[in-house]
Amino acid sequence: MTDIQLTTVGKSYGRRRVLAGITLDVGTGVLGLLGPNGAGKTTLLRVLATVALPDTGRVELLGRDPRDPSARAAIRRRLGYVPQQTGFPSGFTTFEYVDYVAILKEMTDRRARHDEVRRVLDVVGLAGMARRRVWRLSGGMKRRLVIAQALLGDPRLMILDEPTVGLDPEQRLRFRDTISALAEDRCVVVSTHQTEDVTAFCPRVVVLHEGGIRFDGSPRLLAATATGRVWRSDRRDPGARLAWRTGDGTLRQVGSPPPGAELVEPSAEDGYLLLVGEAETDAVPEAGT
Amino acid sequence: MEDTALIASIAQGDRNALATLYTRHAPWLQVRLRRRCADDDVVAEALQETFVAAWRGAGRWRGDGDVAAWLWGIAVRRLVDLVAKRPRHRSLAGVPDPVVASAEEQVLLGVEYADVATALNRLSPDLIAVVQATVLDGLTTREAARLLRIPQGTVKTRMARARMLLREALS
Amino acid sequence: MTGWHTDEDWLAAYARGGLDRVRAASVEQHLIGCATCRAAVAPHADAALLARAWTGTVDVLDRLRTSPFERLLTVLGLSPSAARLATGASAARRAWVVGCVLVAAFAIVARDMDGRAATWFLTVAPLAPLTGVALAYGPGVFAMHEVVAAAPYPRLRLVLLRCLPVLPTTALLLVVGGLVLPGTAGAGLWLLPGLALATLGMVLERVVGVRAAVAGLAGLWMCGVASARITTGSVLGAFSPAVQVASSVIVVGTVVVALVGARRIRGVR
Repeated sequence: MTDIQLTTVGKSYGRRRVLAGITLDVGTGVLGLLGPNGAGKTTLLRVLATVALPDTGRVELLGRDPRDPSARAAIRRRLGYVPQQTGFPSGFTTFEYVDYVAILKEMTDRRARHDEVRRVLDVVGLAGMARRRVWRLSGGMKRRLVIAQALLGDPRLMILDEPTVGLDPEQRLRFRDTISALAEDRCVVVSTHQTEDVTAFCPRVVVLHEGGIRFDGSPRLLAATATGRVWRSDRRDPGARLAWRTGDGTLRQVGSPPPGAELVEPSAEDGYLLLVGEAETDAVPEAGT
Repeated sequence: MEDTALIASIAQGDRNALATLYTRHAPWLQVRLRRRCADDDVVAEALQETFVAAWRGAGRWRGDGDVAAWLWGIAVRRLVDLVAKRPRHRSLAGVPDPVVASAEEQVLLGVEYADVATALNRLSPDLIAVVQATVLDGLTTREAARLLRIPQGTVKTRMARARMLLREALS
Repeated sequence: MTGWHTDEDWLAAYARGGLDRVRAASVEQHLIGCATCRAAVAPHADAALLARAWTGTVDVLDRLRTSPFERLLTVLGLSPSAARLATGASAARRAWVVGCVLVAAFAIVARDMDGRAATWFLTVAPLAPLTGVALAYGPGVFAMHEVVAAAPYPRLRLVLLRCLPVLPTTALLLVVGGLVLPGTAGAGLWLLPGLALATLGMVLERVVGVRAAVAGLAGLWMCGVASARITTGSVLGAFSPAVQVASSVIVVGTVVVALVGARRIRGVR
């Protein structure tokens, strides 16, 4: 079943074209959205969350057109959204924050609503913080709180804009676990900066660059796009667009290998780097130390 | 988990901790409240208010003293308030218990336990009710008066009388 | 604790109310300090009563903190969740304050309006407070805006609800402020039609839906301004004392009707 259907969707802010004709079909499962800053990820996700409407093209979410107000409300009833940036009214406690969103999600029965609020707080591991004021929470806790509200009401469609920012490694693993379990029977779109997030739990990856889709496929396929373009040597070769020293002391290089270079198995990250062509940043990060 | 750790979690808003505290303490509190009030509705309400108060007051818990004693202190006062509120409510169930603190003191002073028991059991139910409320449950004169539905003056005179009778019986 | 524990028979007898006073007192004293015996007496408690008291406890805790204003709104007939949304503003203090400032600024500007510019300005006057409140909860001001924007709750209804704490507060502030700064009390009066519109909007919304209610009332108001212009030659006629009185009657009337209604419903129960 197709939950998201985009046909040549475009959006501009002033003269800047942020989305340049996106066509995309998404169904059950997790879709990872990768792209550098300014690629249009957040705009695309805001369109998918019905918060922004596109200028051109056609959007269909859960089989409905979000331009129509009653259809929009119907979509929102089955939508969970984690915006990239959101603040918190200072006076709310953790519980009250989620409860407020739950009311906005039209959960009118108090007892059922409160059970649901406690359930989602438990899922993100904040059950013990129910009475703490939001402003006293740490950054990671706040992020989890926003994820909690998105889980309310068991949504069919989940739009998560960089949900893992600010989470520590253990919480990130827990989050992957939660999202993977959720994606069994719903449609989840996650944007992230982290290629390892994508390879870890997204069966499908879309790379967005300058408002257009540059890649759409499995992480393995993304890695395969870099086949023959990743090699290892002791010295930096002139054809390398990026090179970094790995744990074994050799330089891992991505770009155009010299003849006879010792090729290595590419990763999804290599594929991504080549796609978005971050050649201009010729820095040599010392990884693996 | 220790009771004090539970209280700390409750202060953070952990409902599961409150549920654990309830499973641990509600049963004995109920049994003890029931010995003071035969009306199940009142007992249930007192119990409910006790744990609501524990939920709200957990943040002010200073960590000294016993959680059980703290809970009982709340529970018996809630019972007093509820009994005072109900106009046609029977006052205390007729099984007033006597003076443990002073009984123990007397034992320490070398008086035979049997003597204390006899002396206490010989007091009239009215006097015993007063002794129980003030000494055993640690209520103030005013609270005891509300619980027993008698004027504060009467509480004082009955207490003085009980003290006198006990002193006579044990001397 | 001490290693000594109360005899099981004693506990059973105690729970039944059978133990004599002295022994019962001794058991109670021991229970306070002994977790083992407290656990041992548990099976003698009435499980149904325990379950009932627990349900009651959870119910009370679920009521959450409610502000007096929130309780007032509930008494006036708003559902508890609607009252929560209206006063959730108190947690969103910044949006609430911005709303008050915008509305008060409008009222003070409106008071000094005259001439041709006033015509258009005053035509939309009662909608201005609603717009001010909507702006106060807009992106950049209201922290949660992005999350709220993706929720299915009817947007216009939310604005009306949020007006409930903002408009009366502002009107009151202006009237009180009038005692200190002469003239601001008059500004408070400019809010009355807006407040009446919001109140009527809340009532009509239940009957005809929120869009129709607000659109209809705005239309009625504009007709009123037009007719005032025709009959008195000035749009200011639409803000004549008679209109102010009518607005006050609508606001007070709605509140009273809601209060009486709420009491009657409670009486039937």
